[in-house]
Amino acid sequence: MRWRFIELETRDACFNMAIDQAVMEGVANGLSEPTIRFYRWLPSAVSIGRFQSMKDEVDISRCNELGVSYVRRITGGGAVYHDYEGEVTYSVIAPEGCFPKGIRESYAFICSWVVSGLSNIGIKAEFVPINDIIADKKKISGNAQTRRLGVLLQHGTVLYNLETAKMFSLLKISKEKISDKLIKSVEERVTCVSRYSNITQEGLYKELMGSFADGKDYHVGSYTETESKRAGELARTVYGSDGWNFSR
Amino acid sequence: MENSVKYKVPGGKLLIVKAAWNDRITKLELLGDFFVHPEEALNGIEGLLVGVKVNVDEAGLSGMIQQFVEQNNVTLVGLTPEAIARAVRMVVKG
Repeated sequence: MRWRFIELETRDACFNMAIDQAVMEGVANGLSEPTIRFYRWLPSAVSIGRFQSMKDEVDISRCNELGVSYVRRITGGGAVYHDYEGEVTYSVIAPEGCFPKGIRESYAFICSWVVSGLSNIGIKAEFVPINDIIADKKKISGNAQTRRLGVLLQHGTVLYNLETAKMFSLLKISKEKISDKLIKSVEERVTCVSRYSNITQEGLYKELMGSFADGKDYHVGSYTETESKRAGELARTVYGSDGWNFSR
Repeated sequence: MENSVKYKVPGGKLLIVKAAWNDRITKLELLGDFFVHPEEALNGIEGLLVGVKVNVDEAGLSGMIQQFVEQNNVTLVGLTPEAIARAVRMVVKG
């Protein structure tokens, strides 16, 4: 099987979610190749899990003040602040048959590529079920998966830099909980690549690209016209719509 | 009556239940950072619980959800029928 890699691209939140779905549909109907893509978010954005409430999780007015976008993902999991300079995000989209059948096993399978990339820059990390990767006993990567039409999509972030205070101002947490103590506690539970390595964000992407590609037959490609058109439709009608983003 | 509860699923994710009820549950929403495959099945679980009498115990609720999950090939990750049942009982107890 031949994989298509899409090199690190910078897109807005709606497109990032829409192209994942468009490629997923393409793989399902045999028109798209199994794909691995790397991307950043501009403007920076908050994504929430499929089953979270946007109003409960995200301070929308603060997002608007700071020019931060917000979007509901197709996948479950929690709310994530995707800082433009703070992470590298990936998506893996391929027929379910390419992965172990069990959900936990398939998380472990794909997350091992992330673990390997981190290992190559000297960060000892490990996969911890259900969907996290930890380094130094702290979360360094979160991942989320869905399966539909016989296709598996897993996307995840690798934290490069942490802006805890900004993250707290965007995610809705009761004011009394925003104390130095809590921020310290989060900093004790979450970590990022820049704490252990001088590598650049671009360098981190290249290491991840290398580890994801290892042992695979692949080529570096771009989106087809059909995928781009479908992503545009989905970005406009689904991921950019209040009907989807505020559905819970 | 209306209420909401947050329940950390043992070994799993956070589940938030928002419900309204009289002698039966009239409205129910399951929220959180868990995973459901296929995702649309969560609407089915919510629909299953609407209309249920509020005095149905945890085992009864759990059994209903378990049966739905099995019949519809639903996979819950970070969430269990027992956890949903427990949180629903917590919410209607006020």
